[in-house]
Amino acid sequence: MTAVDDLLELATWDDPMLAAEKLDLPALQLAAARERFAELRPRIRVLDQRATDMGVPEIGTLADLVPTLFAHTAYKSYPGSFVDKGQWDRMTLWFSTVSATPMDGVDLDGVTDVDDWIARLEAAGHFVFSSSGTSGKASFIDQTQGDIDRIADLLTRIWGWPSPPPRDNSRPLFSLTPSAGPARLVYAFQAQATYTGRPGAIYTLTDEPIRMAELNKIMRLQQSLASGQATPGQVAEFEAGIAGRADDMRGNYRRLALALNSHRREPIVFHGNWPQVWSLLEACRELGLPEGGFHPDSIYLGSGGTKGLNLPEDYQEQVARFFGGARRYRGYGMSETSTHSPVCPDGRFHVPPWLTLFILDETAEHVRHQPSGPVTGRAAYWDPVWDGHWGGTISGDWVTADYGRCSCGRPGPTVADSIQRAKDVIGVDDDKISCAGAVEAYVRGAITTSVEHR
Amino acid sequence: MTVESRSALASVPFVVRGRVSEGVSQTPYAGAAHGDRTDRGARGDSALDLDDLVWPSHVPVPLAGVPSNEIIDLLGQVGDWVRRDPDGVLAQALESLVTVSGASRPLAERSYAGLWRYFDRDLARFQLEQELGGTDVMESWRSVEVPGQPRPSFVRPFPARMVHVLAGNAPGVAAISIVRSALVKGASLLKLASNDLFTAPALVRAVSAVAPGHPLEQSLAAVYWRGGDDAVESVLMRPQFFDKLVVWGGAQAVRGVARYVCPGLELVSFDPKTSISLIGQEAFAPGADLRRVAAAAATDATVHNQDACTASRFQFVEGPLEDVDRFCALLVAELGVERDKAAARSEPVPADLRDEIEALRYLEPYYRVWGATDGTGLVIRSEEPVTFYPTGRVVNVVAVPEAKHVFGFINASTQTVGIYPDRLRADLRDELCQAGVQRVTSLGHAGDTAIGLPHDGFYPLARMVRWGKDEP
Repeated sequence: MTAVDDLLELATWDDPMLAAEKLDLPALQLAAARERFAELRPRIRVLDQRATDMGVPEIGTLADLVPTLFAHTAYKSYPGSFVDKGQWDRMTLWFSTVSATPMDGVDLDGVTDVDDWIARLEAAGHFVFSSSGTSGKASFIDQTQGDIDRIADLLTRIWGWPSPPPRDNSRPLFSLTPSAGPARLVYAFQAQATYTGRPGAIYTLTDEPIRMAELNKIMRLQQSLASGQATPGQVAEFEAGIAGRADDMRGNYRRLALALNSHRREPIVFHGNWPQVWSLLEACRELGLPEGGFHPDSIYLGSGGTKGLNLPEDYQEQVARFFGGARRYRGYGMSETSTHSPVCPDGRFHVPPWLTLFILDETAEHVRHQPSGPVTGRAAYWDPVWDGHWGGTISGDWVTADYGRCSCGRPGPTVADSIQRAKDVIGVDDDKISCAGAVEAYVRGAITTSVEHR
Repeated sequence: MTVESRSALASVPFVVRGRVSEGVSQTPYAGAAHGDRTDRGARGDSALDLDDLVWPSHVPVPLAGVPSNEIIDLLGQVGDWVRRDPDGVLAQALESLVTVSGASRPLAERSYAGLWRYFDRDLARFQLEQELGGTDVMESWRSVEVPGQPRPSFVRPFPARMVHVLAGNAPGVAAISIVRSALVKGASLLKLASNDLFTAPALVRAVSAVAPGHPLEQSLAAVYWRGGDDAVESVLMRPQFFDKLVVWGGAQAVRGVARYVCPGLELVSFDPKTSISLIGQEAFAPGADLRRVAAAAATDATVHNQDACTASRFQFVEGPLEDVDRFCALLVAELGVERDKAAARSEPVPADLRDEIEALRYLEPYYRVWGATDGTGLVIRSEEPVTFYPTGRVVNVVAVPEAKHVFGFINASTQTVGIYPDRLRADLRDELCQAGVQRVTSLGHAGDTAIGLPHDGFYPLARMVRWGKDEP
């Protein structure tokens, strides 16, 4: 058994969130951190450089991890032109600097687009997950097969905490996501399909895989528009395309609505991002399906943001009425961490014991810590799970945490339900006006918004 | 009417028509005091008095009847006063700019030492002549023969009521705005930027000191509210109260103000801009002084510590990689040199950019990086421009096989192109300006902008008036 295994063993407890009061959790976390750092530093070029620059020869205390944490932007630090121009050898060179496993076996011959590149990486044992932030530039993070297996195990042990659904493939499973693609949401679906979903009663939004190339197309159009090279016809065609895809989806939502209705009396597991959940609700209404009447062991989760979408103010209440009878589940996480933090009955998010939460100041360089009581700052995590990349990440979230005991009776740390984006809180003072600016300011309309809201 | 703004409290002088209210201003700095009503109450009249900030349209603006010559002379006197600073008003503003707004002291000192020049009488006359057609244009009907019309028509510009949303990255912005407003006899509400709350009030106080009660004093107000504060902006920015919204970019500032544009309320925008440099292969010719070229390129890159639209961020260099890399090595050394418009170092590179830059260090030979992200200067050499916006004394040198390749990277936001050698500037200026560039200059002179010439593609004074006509 390695120190990391010892730590992850906690996930098998009836209530892993009680670990901190039964054993010396910091010591376990530190042992795992030392082990991971020693293992991964020689394998990850950027980590090695960072450790050298910051003077961190080894992890003596958990605080020594802080200078080694990567900003979440580190995984999209590649020059965008590599993707735009299909320079996959250069892209792979970049990916190798943030990855812990060598790119030797990756066959780049005849790669056509970014999805093809991801598929070639996967064929060589690099399971990429990708996400696009508000900048529209996608991040790419490397995972090994072992990583995939571990996060699937952890997710299904935590999801639904404190009474997660049984891992016996007995539950009708609804996941409002494509069934394939390099996204965390898809990996989460696949984990639940493996452990929780009942064969024959597993429903997703579509079997069309998520295609990163679509996103790149939008980015390229945005760039050519900014530089004045896109024609009005291309802009119109693109905007019409968005509307067309929305129409295609309507059939899928109706199919899902009918399936949901047919499993209403059984304990189901349901997960979707709010905009998709809302679309499903509308489809149910169009079909005249009734509200409520769900099985008491059913669990539903709405997640993600709703920025820029036309949802009514009380969309969460409306969704709750629709799922009447079922339990609403909530969690807080970021795509870079292996496990999310589930909510307790008192409404606080409990950080799983294998994750180390740091609250950092505005500079993201210093730790703010108090043994108990609220402490506010930027959330950062040390996550020992990953073997394919470095598990220390600084998030873009501004949170208030408490390392003391939660009012629900369990030990901390917990995070209050008041999470904001750090840049909204400390961010650039938008009133600090300077006459300098980039051409992005000159792009208007759906092309920018569709990137931001994806 | 007074409103409680969302903005918090701190001590900054506001000046409204000659009245200075000290220590009751709303500023973005007192985050802790935000919403502290008891504090606000104790300080008394902390809210903005909006009624005081407008010039009703049924009453002529204060400067309407004042001859241009008198205004020009008064501006000259203001300039003298600013230079002498007998009461220490400018010195105090400078101190606040450095300590409160965090401006670089030597840079702010040099900027302040030159502020008086903007008020120069000859420069004022030059602006009226260049931009409106003469020093008497504002007060006389000009007779115009119209083809096919038996009798002449008459045209004359009239003053407008303006909100100026100022940028805070260079103190000259406040001086230029006040002079322009005066020359068109306008009435102007100067909305301060949070990164310079001090220069405009100090200059308006200079007007009061030189000519208390003068219509020019009655034509100016300098206050702060948080940009985008609806409680203030949606009330003020109406054609009933103002004719022109003059805004200096920031993209966000322009977008914010553009929301209020409607018939009768016009936007005059100094858009957010990016400047670049273009260096021809002559720089590498035998006998050429590559270090001098690099120094000129660094001068352009560091204008106002690279926090200005004229500051060069992308430098296209014509030549083979080895030569371009030689240039980069010289350039990074020159970036850390203190200059007239640059301190020896800037704020460090923002964290999100740092990762992206550090990643490039591993991508040789496609990319090469010189220098550090600590604000002392950094150069990235690539074959095409980086997709991020270089700031924090970061220059992206793009190696191009020939100078003409620069045309692929020019767009609506390109302001200044600093060019070496002059031969290349002469060759390319037609094409560059046709492609959207607003200004070409010799390398090393990006920061030396002259007043009275076009600004961001137009003549500002011509946009700051309303044109009247008499067609008999």
